[in-house]
Amino acid sequence: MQIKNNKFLKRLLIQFLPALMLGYFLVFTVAYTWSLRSTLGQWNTLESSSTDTLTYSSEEWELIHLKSFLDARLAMSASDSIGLTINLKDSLIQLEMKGVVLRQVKFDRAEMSRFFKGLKPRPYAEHFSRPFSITEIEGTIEKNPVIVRKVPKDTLEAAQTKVEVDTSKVEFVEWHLLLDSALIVSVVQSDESETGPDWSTFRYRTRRHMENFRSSNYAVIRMKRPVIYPEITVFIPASEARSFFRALPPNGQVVLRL
Amino acid sequence: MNNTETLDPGKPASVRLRLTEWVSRRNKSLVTTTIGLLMVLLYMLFIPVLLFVTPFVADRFVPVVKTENNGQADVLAEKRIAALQSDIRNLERRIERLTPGNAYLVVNTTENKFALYKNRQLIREGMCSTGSMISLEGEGDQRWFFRTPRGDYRVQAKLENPVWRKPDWAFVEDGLPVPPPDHHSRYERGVLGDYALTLGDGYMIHGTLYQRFIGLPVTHGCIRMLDDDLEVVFRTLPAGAIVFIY
Repeated sequence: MQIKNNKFLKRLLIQFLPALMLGYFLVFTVAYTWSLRSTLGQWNTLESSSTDTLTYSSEEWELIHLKSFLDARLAMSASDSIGLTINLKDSLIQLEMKGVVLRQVKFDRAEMSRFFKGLKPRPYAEHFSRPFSITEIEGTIEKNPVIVRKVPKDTLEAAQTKVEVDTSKVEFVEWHLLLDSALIVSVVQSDESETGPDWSTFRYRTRRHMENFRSSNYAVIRMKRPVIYPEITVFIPASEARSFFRALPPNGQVVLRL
Repeated sequence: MNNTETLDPGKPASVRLRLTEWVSRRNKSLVTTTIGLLMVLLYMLFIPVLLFVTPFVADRFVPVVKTENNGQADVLAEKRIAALQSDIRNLERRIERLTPGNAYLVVNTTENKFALYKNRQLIREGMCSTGSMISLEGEGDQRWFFRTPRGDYRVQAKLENPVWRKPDWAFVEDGLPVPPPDHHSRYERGVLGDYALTLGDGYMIHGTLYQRFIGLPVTHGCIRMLDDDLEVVFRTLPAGAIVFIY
């Protein structure tokens, strides 16, 4: 009996389960690819429901990119709140308010999903000539680090409960924005921290990845199209990343130039 | 010697046979261990593969749009390019005009730094102190939040040798009883430095006795500067100048 059970367990662990996992991987990859191409198809469909059939030169392509960028910046300047501008062509990321650049940072490194290279010029202009709205903002550090202090009863208690500023804390800075529920912009600190990513960073990344994992796999299992968010990641120094994260309002605007 | 001889429990085995048995058993256990490790690796890497390998593979199947550089672009391309260039020039001019030509100040409350601009050039930058982000909470509705508000403000008034009229929280946070509104203990001289610029709603840019805390978030909402920086800012910013705080 024991020999029979061992053989069954061996077959299950070495043959059946790996075959099932390989099969699921193939199905998941096909569904993911199909969803990505389908999303790209939606983005490439113009508002007039037509498709872009013109042939563009690289010069015209560049000018369309630049004009879309400037249109979006001008539209964002009409808002009263702080906005973010990311220019991947010139490697610049900046905070703006009413068209005035408050802080500009040049970055050395950025990563962009190949999805964006599949966008045609006119649909690109349609999507990127308006600022995107932030629908979600989350990071490894607190957005508003509030310290609560109780009103002291007398001067003695006031002296004892004085709050000291702690400047020794070193945090790894990483945050992301979900824009118009359609794409993600991530910012990661470029400088190496002495301790590396900390526990808070680990929790943040695990939460992000597991949420994506759960939602996409749940869709595949239910034979539905998984929702894909193409992503852009920018690497800037920690101090700038922190300032930018805390400055951006939850429903702020972002302008992108690819 | 017979090559096919097997072990007989009653008979002592030959050296060659024992060696063969030992090698065979060892290979079997090696194969079993290798398969076991591969299986463990497979189970452990399944989720990371779905998380990272799948998107990478899917990305490779995205069709990339190519541009035409062999003179085979659309016949109306030249006109479109000229129109785009004209639009771009107009847009750049409009955006440039949004930046004030006169002096303005930008304050970073996360890093506690300021930057002073005039004629669209940076003329001075340095450290300052901004709100501590302390929420002072008492009984009932008693609550004060010491934060430098973000946004754009205009300099409403410029004062020399300003006198500080202490609000209620200045007494409450020290555990002191709150005096009547016009009591003499409400007025303090010399604590705001030589100059102050008011921004409205009780917020100001002013000096401080506690110069060693400049660069730290220690204020109750106002912006504190070192004496030298404050003098330059005071002399440069006229009333009505914009102060951007982020």
